[in-house]
Amino acid sequence: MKVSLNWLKQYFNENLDGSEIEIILTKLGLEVENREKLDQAFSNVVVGKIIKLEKHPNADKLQICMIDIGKNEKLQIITGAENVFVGMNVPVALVGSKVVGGNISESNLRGLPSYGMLCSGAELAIDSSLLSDKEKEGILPLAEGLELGQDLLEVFSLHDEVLDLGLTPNRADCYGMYNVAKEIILKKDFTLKKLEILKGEKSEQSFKIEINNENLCHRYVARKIKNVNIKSSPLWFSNLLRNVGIRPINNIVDITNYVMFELGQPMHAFDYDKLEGGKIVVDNAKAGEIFITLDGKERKLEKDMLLIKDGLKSVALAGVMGGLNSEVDEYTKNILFEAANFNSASIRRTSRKLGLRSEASGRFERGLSEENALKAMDRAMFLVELLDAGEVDKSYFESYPVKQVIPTIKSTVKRVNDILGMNIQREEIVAIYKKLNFKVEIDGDNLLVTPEAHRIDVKSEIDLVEEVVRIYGYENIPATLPVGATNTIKVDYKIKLIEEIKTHLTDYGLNEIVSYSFIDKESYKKCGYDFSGDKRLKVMNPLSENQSFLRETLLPGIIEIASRNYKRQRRNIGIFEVGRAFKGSDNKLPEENLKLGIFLLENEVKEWYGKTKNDFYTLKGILEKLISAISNKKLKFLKLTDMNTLHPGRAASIIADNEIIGQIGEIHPNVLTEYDIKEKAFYLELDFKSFKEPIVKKYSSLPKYPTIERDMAVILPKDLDYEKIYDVISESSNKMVVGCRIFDIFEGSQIGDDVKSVAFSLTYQNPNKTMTDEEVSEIHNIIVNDLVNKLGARLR
Amino acid sequence: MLQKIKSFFEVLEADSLESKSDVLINILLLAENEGLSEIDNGKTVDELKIIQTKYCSKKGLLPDLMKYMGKVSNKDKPVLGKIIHDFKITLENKFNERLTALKNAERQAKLEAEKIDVTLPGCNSQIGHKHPLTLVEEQVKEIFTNIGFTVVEGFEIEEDYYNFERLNIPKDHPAREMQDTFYLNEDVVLRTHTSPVQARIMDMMCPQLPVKIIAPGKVFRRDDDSTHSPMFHQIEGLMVDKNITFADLKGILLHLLKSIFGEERKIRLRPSYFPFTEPSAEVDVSCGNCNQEGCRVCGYTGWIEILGSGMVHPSVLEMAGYDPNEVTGFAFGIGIERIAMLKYGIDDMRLLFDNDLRFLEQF
Repeated sequence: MKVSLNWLKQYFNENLDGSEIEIILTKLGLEVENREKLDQAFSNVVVGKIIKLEKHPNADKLQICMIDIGKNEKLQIITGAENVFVGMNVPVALVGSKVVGGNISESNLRGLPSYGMLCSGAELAIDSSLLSDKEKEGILPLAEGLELGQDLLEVFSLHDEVLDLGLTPNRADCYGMYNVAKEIILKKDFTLKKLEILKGEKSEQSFKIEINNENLCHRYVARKIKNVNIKSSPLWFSNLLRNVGIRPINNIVDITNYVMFELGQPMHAFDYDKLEGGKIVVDNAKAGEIFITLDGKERKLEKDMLLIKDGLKSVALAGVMGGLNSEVDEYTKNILFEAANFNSASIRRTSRKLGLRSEASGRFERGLSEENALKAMDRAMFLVELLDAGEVDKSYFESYPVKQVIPTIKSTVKRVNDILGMNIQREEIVAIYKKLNFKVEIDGDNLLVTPEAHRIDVKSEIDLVEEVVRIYGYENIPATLPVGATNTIKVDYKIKLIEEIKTHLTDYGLNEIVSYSFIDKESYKKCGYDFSGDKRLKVMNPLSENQSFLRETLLPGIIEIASRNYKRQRRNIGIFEVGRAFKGSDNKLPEENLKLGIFLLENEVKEWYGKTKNDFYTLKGILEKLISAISNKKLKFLKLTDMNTLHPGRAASIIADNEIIGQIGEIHPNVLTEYDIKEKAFYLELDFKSFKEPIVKKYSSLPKYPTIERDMAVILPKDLDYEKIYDVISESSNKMVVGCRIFDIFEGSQIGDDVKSVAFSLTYQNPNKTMTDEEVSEIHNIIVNDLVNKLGARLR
Repeated sequence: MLQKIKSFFEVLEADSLESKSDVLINILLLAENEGLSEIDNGKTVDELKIIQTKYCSKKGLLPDLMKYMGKVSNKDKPVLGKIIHDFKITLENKFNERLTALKNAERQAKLEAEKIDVTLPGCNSQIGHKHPLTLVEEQVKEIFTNIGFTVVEGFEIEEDYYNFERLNIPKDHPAREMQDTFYLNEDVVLRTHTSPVQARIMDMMCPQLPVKIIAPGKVFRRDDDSTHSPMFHQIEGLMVDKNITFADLKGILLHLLKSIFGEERKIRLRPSYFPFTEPSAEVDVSCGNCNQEGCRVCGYTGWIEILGSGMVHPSVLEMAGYDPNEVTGFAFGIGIERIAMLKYGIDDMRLLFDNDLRFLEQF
């Protein structure tokens, strides 16, 4: 909402200062998003009249203009514009002036001097939306009768400041500048002038108003103007409109716009003689009804849309746009003005469905006071007379089936202070209500407060509390700390877990990333997931197709980020994300599962101390460290060969407590190719669904007897898993082996093609006594025998 | 030498050693000096061991002397014993002293030979970095848990009912336009703010008091430009109890913002509107970039908008089952991105979601 200082000044005798008004409105909760001085765009541009036009002798497209700029001064200016003619008033940028695009100096065009420039609207920084089609082309034509030589800043009343207000939905009344003026006097001791109006008498004789849907139309006021004189509004009037961003059209339309910007009440003007049947009917549209709006477009209506009809046909889409069939034009003789109150939700739905939004529909959508309608009509009638636009009918027509209920709200001084934590005296509170022009009645401890009609946002006691503190000043509230009982809500373990995981993983050298929760359908495919299979979660109204699905795995987001960094020549990529992934469910809400994804690039580098690179086991080591840091879980790994995401020979399901909690592996080369990653990379994803706060472990007593280490090297079938070897060792050792460390795995033709040599160091310990060499040898031999017999091992 | 000693004892009368001891000591002194200088001249531990043998081994001087112990009178025995002992101690002390010196020198030489370049970088010293959004979230959580708030979390995908209706935003309410919403279906949305947690936690707690929580999390709005991201992060705060006041809200927010931005910062509350709080306030913090002189960061106003807050609307309390005449509360919502950008001087929000490692490693 644009507010012009010139406009506001009409309501006060006092002068207004833009920066002070900005501070006042900010303190009152009307946010000022921007404040602009309008006289900065150009200078030294005056009104001139073209008194002579000649073709330039040396250039086909140029004309030599002789311009009268008053005070007997004439200037020769050469122009390339085509829309100039003798007698035309034009904006003349004098030598030494500033316009959009630069400073003007004396110049020479094809051998002839030019002392200035004729300006277009754009060169004067006039927004094209404020110009008619005719005004947009070439030099801006100025009105006849202007004083020659007059400064254009004055002609257009541009010594003005405009504040752009970002209004909150509760203060829709401030879409009317007169209500903004009412706010100013809350903080400034100014006298607000009463609006001049032209009241009428209510008549039901000649014209009937019928409201068939009282829910959607609470009030309808109409008044007739005879013998209208349609012409341009006077400059002072159109300047006010232009400065708040409204294009002046003609006096009638300008008056409706002016009242809308002054009181927030949209109005409409019908050509009275195009209305048939001697009445106005407010009613729902028929489903599928076609209606042609003012802009000439055919609109297909639905039956919950509200129409204004005459006795025979539809003439306006209520609150949204008038109809072409009743449009005011240059032949219009008589006019019917409308000021009505329509249901805000209905207007919103209609304008949304038809894609038709206007200043008027915007105001209706936010809600209006019913009382405002007649007030606006009376004001418009005053303006009709003021601008000499026609003869105002003495009477007005009205239907007002649903009267505005202005509540009387009970409040106490104590309640106000209890909520604010302050001690504002009763007199002060009453004074605030009075300033607001709210009626106050004192009834014992109670204050009975009746707000002004336009303040439809004030409905209950809490609204009054807000008014008090708003005007008392937020800056005057003390800052205290609450006192009270101790909080007993328990912290969810998962919340602590997230923080711990992030701390551990960053300690291990990984960087945390944050990716979007919605991903591209394509990225599922790129990551090797079967897209068709499951019930995917899709956003109904995504910003774009590539943000339309909710992630079920973190991989697409993480690998995308890895790939972006890879493309920036980054090779040291170890990243993780902790976040929720989603899954469709039969409940109202989908499942939200806390997941962790870790991505590690191979990144083979030579360091001064040797070569380093990441592989499957680097990632597995990170996993094992993390899990033992955050839980008591024992992990098992089960080969995973049927995934398109991970390498079929280098992937595993991660299992804990007999449940699959994730996957780990080398990323499938096909997936890496999709993301232009040209070296190996590893990924794991964990689901924390089954994680619970670990049970505190009891201490176990320290072993009293020493350990003995023995090495062993055996040759085993190549495909035999370590886990199987370990199982045999722990079974055969009768719990006397407390540690098993592999220190060498060797494959090579020296020992045969289908075998590998595995060397490990076993740690023996008997919890009850010191083991002798013989006892150790005995068990060691059993283990060797079992490895030979059960796994086909042979000793090296 | 041995001859001289032998002669000495040959002429020694019984019980006279005490008076003649000077003579023996003088004889031994020669031997002692000879031994001491030999020890001094020993260049290595090995050389020293040979010298030790010469004086102390079975073939050395000392055993020779000891032979006379059996020959002297009982009264002379202790006198001789002391002489021999003194002689032995002197040599041994010297020997040990020299041995220690030589060993030290040898170790010193070994250490010298073992020196390394301590300026080479350490192995695997790389640490990772938490995302700046996490750092801010953790800081805010800590500030509030220190004053007795509990961290809770809500759903990222929420029912329309909790995201809007329970927050006093019925269908067709103009405030729905303040936030453009992603829908999964008619009743389910990607939450547009963390505020539905207010309703969820009050439902869980009612009628218990106090409710004192903060709730961090992701939120979603249909907006994407240089200052808006379709996904961003908020922290919701809610305190409901008897006698909670607007002044308390101001005090808590002052504490929060000073903890994050520094004691010297000021805050400003401006009236605003949220359907679920009343009175409502936008909170600005004084610009630390220009000390309120006016700069690009604060749009030449000296103030930076940082969060929205207010007193929990009576209808919101009522819907949760609390009696708004008995119970009051405050609530606030902090944009984590905004705090992170101000705290670290990040000038483009997109950096937070681009996850360029060169950026992330700076935190």
